[in-house]
Amino acid sequence: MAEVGEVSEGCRLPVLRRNQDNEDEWPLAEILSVKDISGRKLFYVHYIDFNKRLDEWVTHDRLDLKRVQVPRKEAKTPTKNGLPGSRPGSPERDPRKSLDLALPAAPASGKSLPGPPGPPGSGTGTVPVPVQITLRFHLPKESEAEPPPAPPPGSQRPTKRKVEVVSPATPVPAATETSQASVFPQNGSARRAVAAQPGRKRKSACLGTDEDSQDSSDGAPSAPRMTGSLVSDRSHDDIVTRMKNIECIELGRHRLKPWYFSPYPQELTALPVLYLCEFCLKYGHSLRCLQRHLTKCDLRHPPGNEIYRKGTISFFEIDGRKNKSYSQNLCLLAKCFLDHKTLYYDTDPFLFYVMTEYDCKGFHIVGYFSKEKESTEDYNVACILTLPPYQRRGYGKLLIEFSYELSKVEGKTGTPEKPLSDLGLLSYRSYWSQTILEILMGLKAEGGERPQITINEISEITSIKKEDVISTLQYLNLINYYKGQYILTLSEDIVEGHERAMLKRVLRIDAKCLHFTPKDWSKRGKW
Amino acid sequence: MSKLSFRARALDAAKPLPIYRGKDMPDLNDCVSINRAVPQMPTGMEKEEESEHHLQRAISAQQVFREKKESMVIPVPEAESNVNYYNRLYKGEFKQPKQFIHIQPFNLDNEQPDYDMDSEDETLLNRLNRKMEIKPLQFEIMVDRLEKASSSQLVTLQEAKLLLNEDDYLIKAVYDYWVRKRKNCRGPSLIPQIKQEKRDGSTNNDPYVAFRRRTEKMQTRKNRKNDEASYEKMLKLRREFSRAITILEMIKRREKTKRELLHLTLEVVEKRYHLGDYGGEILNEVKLNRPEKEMSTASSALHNGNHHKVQECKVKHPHHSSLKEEVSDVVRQKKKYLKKPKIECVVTPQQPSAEPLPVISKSDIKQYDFHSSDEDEFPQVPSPASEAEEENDPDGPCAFRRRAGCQYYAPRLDQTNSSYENSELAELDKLRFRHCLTTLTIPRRCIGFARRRIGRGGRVIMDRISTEHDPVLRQIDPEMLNSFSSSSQTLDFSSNFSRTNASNKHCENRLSLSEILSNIRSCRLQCFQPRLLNPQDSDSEECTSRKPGQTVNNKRVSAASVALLNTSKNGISVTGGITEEQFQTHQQQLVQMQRQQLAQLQQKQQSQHSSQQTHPKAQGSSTSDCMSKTLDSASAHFAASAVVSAPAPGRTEVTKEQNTSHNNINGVVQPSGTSRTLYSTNMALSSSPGISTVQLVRTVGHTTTNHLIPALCTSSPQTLPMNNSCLTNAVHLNNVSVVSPVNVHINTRTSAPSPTALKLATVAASMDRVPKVTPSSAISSIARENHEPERLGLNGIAETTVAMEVT
Repeated sequence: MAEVGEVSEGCRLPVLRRNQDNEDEWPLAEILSVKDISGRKLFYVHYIDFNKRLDEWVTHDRLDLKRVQVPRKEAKTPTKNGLPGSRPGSPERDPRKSLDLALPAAPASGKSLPGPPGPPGSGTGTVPVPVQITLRFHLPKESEAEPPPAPPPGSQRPTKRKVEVVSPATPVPAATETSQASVFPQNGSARRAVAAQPGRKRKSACLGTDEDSQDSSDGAPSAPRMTGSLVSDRSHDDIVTRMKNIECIELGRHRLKPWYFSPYPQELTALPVLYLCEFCLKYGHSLRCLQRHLTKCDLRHPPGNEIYRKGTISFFEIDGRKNKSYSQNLCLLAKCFLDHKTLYYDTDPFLFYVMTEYDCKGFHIVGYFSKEKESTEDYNVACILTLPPYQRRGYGKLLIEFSYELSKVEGKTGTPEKPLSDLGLLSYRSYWSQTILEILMGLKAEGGERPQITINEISEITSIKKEDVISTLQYLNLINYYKGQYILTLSEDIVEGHERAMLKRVLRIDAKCLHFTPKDWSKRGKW
Repeated sequence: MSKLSFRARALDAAKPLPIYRGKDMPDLNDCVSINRAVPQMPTGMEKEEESEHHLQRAISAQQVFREKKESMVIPVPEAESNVNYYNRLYKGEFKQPKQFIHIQPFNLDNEQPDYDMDSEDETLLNRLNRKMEIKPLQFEIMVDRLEKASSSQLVTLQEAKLLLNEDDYLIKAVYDYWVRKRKNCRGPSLIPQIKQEKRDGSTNNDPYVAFRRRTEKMQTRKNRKNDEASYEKMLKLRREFSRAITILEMIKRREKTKRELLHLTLEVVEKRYHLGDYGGEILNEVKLNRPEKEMSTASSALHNGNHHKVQECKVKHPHHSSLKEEVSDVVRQKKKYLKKPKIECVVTPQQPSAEPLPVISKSDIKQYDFHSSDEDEFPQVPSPASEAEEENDPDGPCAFRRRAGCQYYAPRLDQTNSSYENSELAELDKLRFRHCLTTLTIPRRCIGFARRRIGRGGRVIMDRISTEHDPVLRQIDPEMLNSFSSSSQTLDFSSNFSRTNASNKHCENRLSLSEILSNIRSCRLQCFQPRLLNPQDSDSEECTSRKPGQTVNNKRVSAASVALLNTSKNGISVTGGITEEQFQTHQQQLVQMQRQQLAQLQQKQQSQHSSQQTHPKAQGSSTSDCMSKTLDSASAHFAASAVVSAPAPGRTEVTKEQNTSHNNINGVVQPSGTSRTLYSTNMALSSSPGISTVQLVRTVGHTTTNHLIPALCTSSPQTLPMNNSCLTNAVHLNNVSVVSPVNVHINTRTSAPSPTALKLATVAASMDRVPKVTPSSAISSIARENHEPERLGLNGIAETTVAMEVT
């Protein structure tokens, strides 16, 4: 049994969580940070295999202290914001003795690396850890760990992810583990690998090892690519960006609980509530500030040109170069809900399409998507977001639909920038499915001939990129090989399901209401 | 049907796919697995996230139920939409316009302050509002300006006052509050702002830095090589534009500061007026009491990093102090010059009158580079020394100019007026200090009150001033003047003086003529004629009206140094500060000295005669001859001395000695300065002594045209040193004439350099021959004879060439 005081960053332990069905669960969680507020300790936990947006501060009584897995190493990630210099490692990440035997090369290079300055306590090592058979992937990587001294001759450094079977049941005293502590540099892939718990439906075969090694091979964080606004998993190296920093945002009628880190001015992150102007999205630190601001801000709609209006729904186009302050404010807000969005670079090469809903107070922002003025990869959306209060009401699909309407006007096919989030994937799949099924079902047999269509035709009609059409057809399991040719099969339940879904989909984009002339940005110089 | 074992063909996006529905659908068991033919498309998600629990659950649920089930959605943190004060917060209604909203992108920047007041500020405002009225917006604008003007360094109160156009008390209150709040502020600014990137790359990984500029290499098309170059050019252009903007900003700031200074000065003057502080006593008192540091730091801080600084901005004293520094500099330089007179050192700053020129020009230059620290280095109290200097020399080569930031005292009336009982005279005297009654020799007429200045390139400029006496002045007959002067010649001292002053007699008709005359006589009223310094010889000979007595008069003092004496005489007469008695004693002293020197000189000459047996004597006699006939000026003297000394360098030294001794005797710096100038001029111009001889002889010859000659001092490079000497002499008009002929000569030389040089060389070669010298003096006399008073400088030049030919 570990003491509360011994639970530090990097520890893993089951944490009490109430799920959406109001049931208590004890998912395994990793402690990312510990803070002390008036003598009470709070722990920032990340539920493993849950999205980061569910990470939260918990009190000690929600920790299952009986099953703490203590991190083995104090490694050399830079100290940030008073957090201890250790990157939160997970105990499972650490190689065990058995592992060392299996991989004789590892300890040789590991010996030179520093051990933990403070053992978490002698008792912890003997705590029986639930027996787990874990598929673990270790990716030794010079770039992220400090360059180890030249390995002894004959030792081969593993260059690819290894699959190891580990028995964590073996009690390992932490203090004695120091020599092997840093054999395997910690990185995102390790964390991911660890996530493969028994009972998870996870096929190790699915994991493309090459992909992952590529992903993590650039350990030293460098500037992200200049195009696009999404970044791959790089930011996860940084403990600061792994944690939400804003507690609450007040925006118009709504109070939003941010899901992810957002680089609002640091002095504002300590506030219980961050007040945003609903229309210009300017941030202030108090309600009084907002009040004062509203006497000066006469905006009642996003500061751009309205290019679509039907009913109460309007779309405004904002140029990220011409209206920097709004674009930046929008990005800051959006970052609260988009994990992979990067605000590394300025907003100049983007257009922002803000969807609003009108009422007597003005045009209230519902969601938005950004789009590169010129995309080299056929992206027609960079970031897309429905603000949480409007989620699951069809607005997301409306945004997506609108983005394809723009592509139709442009006469191009398009695809959203990757990576997609979970919600993004579901939304897009749903939109693609419905759009494609709509077309397929609309096809009538002509002259007794069976209706037929090419994938290119679908792509042209919908402006959905060919690859997305194929993946959707695959996902829906519509594509089959029959009698030497590919056919599309629309089963009854597919048709029924689609019809039910379309009944629910009342919000649609009316192309007639779109007043949009695409600009050729390449002729205007860069952006 | 049995399953086919062949591989399916690749999926062709261009190939039509027949659609099977419902009952038409073939048994799926008949279908071939297409796993290999149609590769699994990636989802586009991050791998690790793809496996997340809730997503997997949702995906599987969807595949099972073909539609979303409530329980199968991905949970997200909750959002509330129950802000109950919303309607109070967002007041008013907004009617949806019929047309699509279209905004002008550049109208977005309204001038509203970015700073929003908080409740803490409100407390302050309520407190302040008890004493004065301050609106929230006003307060926000103030804080906004303060914030935007300060980076990591807060603006000072002084700067704040410039930034904010508010009442001083209010500024102080808000400023103090702001400073306090800013210090307690957790962020770098009271206006929360996104962290900016730093250029050094230290913020590359700072998660709080956002919206970095895309500075990396632009992707350019490979087939266009110049793309990159032009991109760089554009970058450069942009940089330069931004620099221009910066400069304009700074100019704006400077102008603002200037306006501020103006306002402040106005205010000070008004306040002083109300206080009756006409003498500046209160101001000085206040100034002394006040720590000067405050001002200087304020100004320096405000202009930190400002390269093109303009000094006038509310810096009170630096000019003055720099002026003083300059003065001392000049003094130091003078000492140096004394030791080794060189060509470039011909600036003879002995006369304080000459000083303002370099001083002013230097301080002018200084205006363009800012040195705030200067203020601390110099005492702040205006020094009376430089003031007095300026007052003593109202007609300096460059007249005194009022400078921004300088402290000026009221004129000392007691000094200037003390000697005048007559109020009318006193009035005239005021004029006198700047403008003198002036008579031109050619054309001979009185031009009324005028002031002499030296302009560019040594041009002499007469500033005339209109007075009530003008009509009278115009009537002045130069002949009257001459007769008067010749008649007054009997009085040694006042001879020169009264001659020039004669015009006063006429001009002061409004006073009684006799009164004026007496005034002039008694040296109370000054008048001058830019005439030649040798009134006795050349002038008198040329002017028929003159009596030979003049020459005789000169012959009485016929020693070589008489010329110098006269020079000094002239100098004294102009300054008018020396009484007759003084002059007499001085003259006696001079005569004594000269005799001694002459004796010395001849001794030396004799000792040197071993090499030149015949000539020196002739030379000597010729010299004296020349003197008696023609030379009455310093130039003549030098001509002689140079001629004499030509064979033996030792001789020049003697002359030098003479000069210095004159200096000592006189106690007046100016004349010796002149001679020094001359001397150095001689040295400078004559690579061989012969040249100088020729020059100086001619100098004598053209004395009548002298008043015109300064104007002839044109921009010929060779005249540069001469111009300088002109400058020195400028105030003492009589002296000018000594030098200026040389200028004429130089001009001639430039016009025809090669023959002159040749001849000069021959002169130099045959220097030791007596005939050489005598002709030259003869030439000069010829020239004199030929010369008519109406002749201009050109004639002089022509004559010079003649003289050269003879040589």
